[in-house]
Amino acid sequence: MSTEQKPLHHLTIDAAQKLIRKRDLSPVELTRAMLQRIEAVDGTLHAYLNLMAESALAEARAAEAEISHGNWRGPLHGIPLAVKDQLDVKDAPALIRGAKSAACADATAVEKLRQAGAVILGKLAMSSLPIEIPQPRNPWNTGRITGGSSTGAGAAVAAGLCMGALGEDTAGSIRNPASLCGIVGFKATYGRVSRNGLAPLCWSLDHCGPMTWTVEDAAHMLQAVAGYDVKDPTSIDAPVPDYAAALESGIKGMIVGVPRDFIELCRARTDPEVLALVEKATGVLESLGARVEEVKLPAFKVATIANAVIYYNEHFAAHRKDAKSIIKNAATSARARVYLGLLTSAADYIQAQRVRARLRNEFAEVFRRVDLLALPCQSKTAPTFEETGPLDTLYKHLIPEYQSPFNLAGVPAISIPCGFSTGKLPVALQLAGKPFDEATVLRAAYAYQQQAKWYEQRPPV
Amino acid sequence: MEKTIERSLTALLNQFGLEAKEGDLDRFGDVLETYVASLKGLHSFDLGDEEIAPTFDPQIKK
Repeated sequence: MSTEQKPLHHLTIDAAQKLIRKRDLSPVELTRAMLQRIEAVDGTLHAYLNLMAESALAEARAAEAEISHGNWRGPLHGIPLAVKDQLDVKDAPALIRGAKSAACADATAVEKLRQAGAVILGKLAMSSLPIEIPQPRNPWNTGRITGGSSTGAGAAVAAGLCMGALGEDTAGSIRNPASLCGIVGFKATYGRVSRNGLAPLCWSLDHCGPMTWTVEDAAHMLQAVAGYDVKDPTSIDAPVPDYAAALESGIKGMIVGVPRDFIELCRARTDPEVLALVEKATGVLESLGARVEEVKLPAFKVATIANAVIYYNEHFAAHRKDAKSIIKNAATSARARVYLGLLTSAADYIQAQRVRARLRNEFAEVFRRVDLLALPCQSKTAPTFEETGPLDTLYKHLIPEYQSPFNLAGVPAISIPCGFSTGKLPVALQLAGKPFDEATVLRAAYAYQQQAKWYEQRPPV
Repeated sequence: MEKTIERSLTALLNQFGLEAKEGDLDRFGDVLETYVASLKGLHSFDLGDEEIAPTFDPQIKK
């Protein structure tokens, strides 16, 4: 894609890294441009909780010096990124932990971004915090929500307040804001990206992952953060392929499964415009050489509530010692999660884990026949703040929806823009793949992106 | 809120030395009822002899 005449804050990671490598773009100049952009619009968008301008500029200067001495580390070297509050950043407070004092170490994923040479601009807002904060606004229409829980990351990436962000997804928290804000959000396989230094919402469902403007940017970020980590007991020692290298291989001959009966189950709650755009996107995959087949995954019917049961029960266990303070001081949804966790019995939790086993078996069977699943990512476009109640996310977790099944099964799933509603709001296609086959998901998403070119449209802020 | 749910939640709060914030039981009545109704759906799903997903691994990876 062309980089000419674009303001620096609208460069993609991939475009910027090529310029930085050739020394046609200075990381310091780029970081300054991002800070100016944040200064100009974040008073409206509320994406950042903690801007680390001074340390970011120091990191940019260090990157510039290193690159000028011929030591280019890779595509993230000198690239300004930001991090959801849930992940620890050394010397920055983690509001989700209720901490006013700074974290003493980086989360492993953040440490890996730094090792790749990234510049950390700061920490981003999220829902599920124990305190009330100004809600981030959707850059496509500031009267509308971004979706959560990686709320600040959705707004920041869409508006060019960072070139990419590290988010976290327990029941759709990367893909939900990605779909509502018209960006790419990728939850990799459970165990692929370390959770060390991540404040837990739910140990067995939490996934860290990239949120970016394009698929190739997501590939660059995932490359940096993926891999085994001895500090995370659920990290899995699986080979990490070169994600960017496989992007341009195309999808000819690929088999894409569409769970039509599940989409039918969700139809009454799904905007017809969303269904039409996702159907059209699936047609584009077909036109690129993929074969589309219908698949059935009966456990999808109860996957959302099973995910919620595991979420609320593990969340209560993880936050038991803070429960009194949460009930006394925290926001509405945080208090409700405590009550829901309490109401969840051992029998409920075990039943949910049995559903999880069944779903894993169903995925294994389906993925013997197909390479990918394609379905909507979100049932509606971003609602207004007035239309959004404080408990809406909790209700969404109780009835069948499109995102949670992939947390429950731990398989990789990506949200990719697939068009706009008549109200000019983004709609997203979701693609999911086999465990540890992120490369195929990225390859298909990239093929679609290059054909559809939705990335050419930027929000009006 | 349904009385049985309210009684269960109050007992569980007591068990953990907690107390609901004033007004919360009314405020959250509907979402808690929806949750309990969804749990019934979860338990009515036929899983045959499916076992639980996470299995204990006696080996430490580190």
